[in-house]
Amino acid sequence: MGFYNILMLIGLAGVAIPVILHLLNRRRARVIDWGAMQFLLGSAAARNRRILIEEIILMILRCGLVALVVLAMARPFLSARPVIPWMLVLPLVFVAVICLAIAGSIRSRQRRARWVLLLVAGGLLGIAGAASAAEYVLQKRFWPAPDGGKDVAIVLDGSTSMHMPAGDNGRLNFDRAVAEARHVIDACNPADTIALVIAGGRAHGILPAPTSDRDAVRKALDALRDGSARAPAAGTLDAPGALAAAARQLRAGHHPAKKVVLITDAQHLGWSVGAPEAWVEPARALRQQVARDARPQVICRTLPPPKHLANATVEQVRFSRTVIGVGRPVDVTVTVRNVGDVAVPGGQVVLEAAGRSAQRDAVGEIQPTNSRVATFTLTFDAPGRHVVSARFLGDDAIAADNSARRVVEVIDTIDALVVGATRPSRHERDRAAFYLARALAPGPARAAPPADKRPDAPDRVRSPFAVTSVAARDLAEHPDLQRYRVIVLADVPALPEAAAGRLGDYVAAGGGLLIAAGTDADPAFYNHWSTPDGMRVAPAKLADERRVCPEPPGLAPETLTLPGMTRLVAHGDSEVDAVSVEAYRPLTTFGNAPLEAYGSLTNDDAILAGGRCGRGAVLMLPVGFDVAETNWQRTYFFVPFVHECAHHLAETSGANWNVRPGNTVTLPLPAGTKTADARGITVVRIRRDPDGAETSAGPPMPVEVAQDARHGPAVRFARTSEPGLYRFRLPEPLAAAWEHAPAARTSVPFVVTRDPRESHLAWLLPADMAKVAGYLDASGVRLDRAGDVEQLEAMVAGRIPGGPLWAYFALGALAALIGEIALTRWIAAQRRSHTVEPVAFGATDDDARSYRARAKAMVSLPDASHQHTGHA
Amino acid sequence: MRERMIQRSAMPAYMRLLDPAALAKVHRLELIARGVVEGFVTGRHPSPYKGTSIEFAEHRPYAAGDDVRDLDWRVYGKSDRYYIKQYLEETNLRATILVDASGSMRYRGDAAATYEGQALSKFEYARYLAASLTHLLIHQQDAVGLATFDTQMRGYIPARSRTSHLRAILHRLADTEPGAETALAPIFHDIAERAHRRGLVIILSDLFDDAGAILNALHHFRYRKHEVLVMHIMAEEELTFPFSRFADFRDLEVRGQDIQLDPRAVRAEYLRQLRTHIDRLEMGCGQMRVDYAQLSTRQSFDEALAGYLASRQQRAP
Repeated sequence: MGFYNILMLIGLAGVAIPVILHLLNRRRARVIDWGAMQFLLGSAAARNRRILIEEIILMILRCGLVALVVLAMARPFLSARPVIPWMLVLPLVFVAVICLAIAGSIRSRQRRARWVLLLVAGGLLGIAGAASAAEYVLQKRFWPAPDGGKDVAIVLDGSTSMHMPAGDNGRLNFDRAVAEARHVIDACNPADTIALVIAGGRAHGILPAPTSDRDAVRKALDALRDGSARAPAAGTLDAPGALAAAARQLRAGHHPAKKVVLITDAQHLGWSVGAPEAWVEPARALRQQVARDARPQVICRTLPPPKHLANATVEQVRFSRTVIGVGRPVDVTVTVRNVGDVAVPGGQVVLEAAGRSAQRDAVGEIQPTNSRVATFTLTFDAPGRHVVSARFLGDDAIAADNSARRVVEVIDTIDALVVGATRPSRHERDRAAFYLARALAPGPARAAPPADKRPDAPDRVRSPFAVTSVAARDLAEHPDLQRYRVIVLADVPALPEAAAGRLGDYVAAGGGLLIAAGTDADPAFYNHWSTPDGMRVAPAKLADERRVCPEPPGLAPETLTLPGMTRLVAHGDSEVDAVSVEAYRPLTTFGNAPLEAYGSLTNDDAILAGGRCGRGAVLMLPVGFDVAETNWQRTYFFVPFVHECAHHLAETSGANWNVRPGNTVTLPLPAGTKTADARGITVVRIRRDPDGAETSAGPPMPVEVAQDARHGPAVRFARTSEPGLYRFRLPEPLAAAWEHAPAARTSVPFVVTRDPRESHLAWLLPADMAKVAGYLDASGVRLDRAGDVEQLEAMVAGRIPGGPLWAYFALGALAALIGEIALTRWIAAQRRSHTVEPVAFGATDDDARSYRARAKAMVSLPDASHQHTGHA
Repeated sequence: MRERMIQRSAMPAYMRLLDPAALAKVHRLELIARGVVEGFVTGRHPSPYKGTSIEFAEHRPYAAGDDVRDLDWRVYGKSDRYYIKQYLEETNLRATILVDASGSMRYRGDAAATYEGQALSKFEYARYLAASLTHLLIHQQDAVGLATFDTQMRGYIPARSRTSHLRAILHRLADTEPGAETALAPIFHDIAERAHRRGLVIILSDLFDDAGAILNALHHFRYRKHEVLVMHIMAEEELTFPFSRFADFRDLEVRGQDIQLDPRAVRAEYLRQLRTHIDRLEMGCGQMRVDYAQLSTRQSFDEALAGYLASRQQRAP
């Protein structure tokens, strides 16, 4: 504990005032020669101990009152880094007060005891004063005021969790941070320069450079609060990144001292507590800006978290399929979870898709840690990338995590390439290629509804697949494999080397490959087929042919585990039981890795194996769909089975338009796109205004152009630290050639999803903060934690920071005053000295005149009485 | 008035104890013994002896040695037996005034009645009372004795009824100054042993001693068939304990004994103990038929004496 006005402690001598007054009062005691000593001594003996105790307590209260007033005026504070514990100093003072009080209260005859007590009290007060002075000196040494000016970077945590109300007035933490930033500005010297950084998933400076123009900084802060400035950062705070951004800003400052003030709610996420290496570069960048003997200071002001929180968050938006066809219904389930510790009253979940009216679904009250699911069905009329937005409309603490956006790709046609063993011929009906191609596209690719269709008749299911067939030997020359989402190898014995290499590249780049390897297939080829990068293409090893007669095995329905397959098997007309496989090549695993089987025969041999190859996916069937091998292709189960396999491959091979923060978004470009055109692509973050209109939040951001010979041209965007909706802006020449988004040629949306952990609030513990301080200290940067705004101001201004305690002392003084008054009154009430009636004695007439009149009246009868007596 | 003051100032000190105004107030009153007293001359008080009087008392059988003049010949004529006719005798009173001259009687107080411009201490109050009573009794032809005491007998004047005896008593009263501690009970026992003949014992004291011992001693007087009149003299401050500031109470009886305290802290307890003491005395006196009069020095002694005598006269049988 220290004192800002340490000289005021001299006033502690005033503690002796009540004692001196008391002793003077005794010394000036009126001497009364008293006769009725018998009763006085008896009374005093009966009450002596009690009187002494009362006097001592009263004296303690009076001396304590003076001591507390003096201590409060000395402006005590609890230092952020106390050297001498206050538990030592304060008890010394109060023991001294008690000694003084006893010394003043004891009887005059006990002079020796009084002097001993006075000496003890004085000694204790001296020790307490010396300890306080030593604390003051040590604190001054620990918190030196910088000579000359300083550059201060104020870093505001703009993460999602900062948008929660905390405290009694319901103010958002972010608004509190802005308000405290103003205190920091006020605490800076006029010559100091101030930089302003807003930090979330990504940190950026609000002002171009540190400035000493206070009004400009305040104006920027006001703009942050009222939302007129660039949108505050969102997502999860990247604390090392924020420090690095502050260091970049401070580099433009010219003062010798550097301070970074980070105002945050100290959510654990994003602090890299277990990753010391994350702090090395930011700390080094900061350390390099100061002289060798100086240390830059990072002041972390942690805003107190709310005691209770009722917070619902849209945790998940899930589509029943990711490859969505035009006109095909897709189920959307929105999961709303209560991540607080107070129940969230029910509300509505609103699902909006561009060009479609909003759908609403009510959800009931959500208990803490529980979730509710709202289900919607969407149908898209046009192909392209659609932004689907789910919002929870309810009463909860953080509104920022009540919405989630996703980009879904609606496709008109899935291009599929069926590679047959030979060129298509009139005997093709006997070949696997025929069945597989027909299974994918049973009819014309774009069939108009029949003219005689009855209104109540269901729409004819149109296959989304546009199938192209090619012979294996022509595959090497087949143009633009990347345009196909799925390629089917239909019982091809082996591929030429060039074709095999090209197809391997296709898979590694993200394509989907279905291999139907029947008895004609060459195990040597498939088992050794690998991409030019050395990745094995086939997910399973083909064994020697196995024929099972006369009772061939069928499909084991319960083993079919591809998404959608379960629903298919459960259908009564699926004829899954009718399938029998007489000849096949059992699938085994390469080495020790377990086989990733998605289906088995009734004899437990795997019939469908899957795996990934690079960014692509591969499914492998050990049958060739030859009539001599199986009757599968003749059952109703065949077409939906092939469709599900193809859908699965198409989904995994599609581009991901919903990325987690920090991941890279890749926009594949048409083959032949010029690099110059690709460089014209920019990315903008989209902000939705209250009226629903979309505006760009921030300047366009450049992309990285990747000219990969194998994967074709593409652009990548890696600055995905801030969640939200983004759009690739395509320049005009490129937009015209953009065939993937004919409906929205000029922009391609993608979403950086929110880290759901940001809503699960977990706070940084003091031990975590100590770890981070250790990381920074190792790089020569000092980290101090400010518990409140007063400490923050003190640290910024170079004063000794500490929690102010004067209010407690003032309250203590008030309590002592009230206690003194109450005790005095209580003692008076107990003594009843003013209410006790005097002893009735002698004539009761107080009025002497009336008594005299009565006596005269008695005296006036003497003759009669005398005569009477005389006669008697 | 001035002339009177001049005359009084010219008086001997002991004569100043007789205040003409006070005597004027009480001269019409009498102090009559309630019980029988053994006087030595015929007076106005009931006597235990049968003698010549006009009031018939009783008959008793003749015994050898009786004066034949007292034989009731009428009874003899009727019953042929010798009876002696006895008459009630009235005698004079032998009063002994006991004045407490202990140190506590020196207490004066601010609320005490003034006499000749000076507030009276309890002892002075008692002295004036004793002087007035002596004057009254002697003028009633009664014999008056005086005993002053503190821890021991300071002076004793046996009862005489001569007018000149008044001067001796006043002289002794004027010469006596209050001194040491109080020890009432032994003194009372001593005086009770000294006075063989029944008489009136008048005690002027603040009775600052153990109430039980005092009552025991009073019982001794009663055992000796004395009529006892206790005039309990207290100062107003002793009855109200009106002090409010921290004070050093110095004992008037024991030199060097004092106590410093806040009077408010002990007032209730002090008054409680005092009330208990007075109640015990009052009840004890009532039980043993001791006349107990409470006199506060706030009231002038002449008024107090006149009031007491008047009320005693009213209560007389």
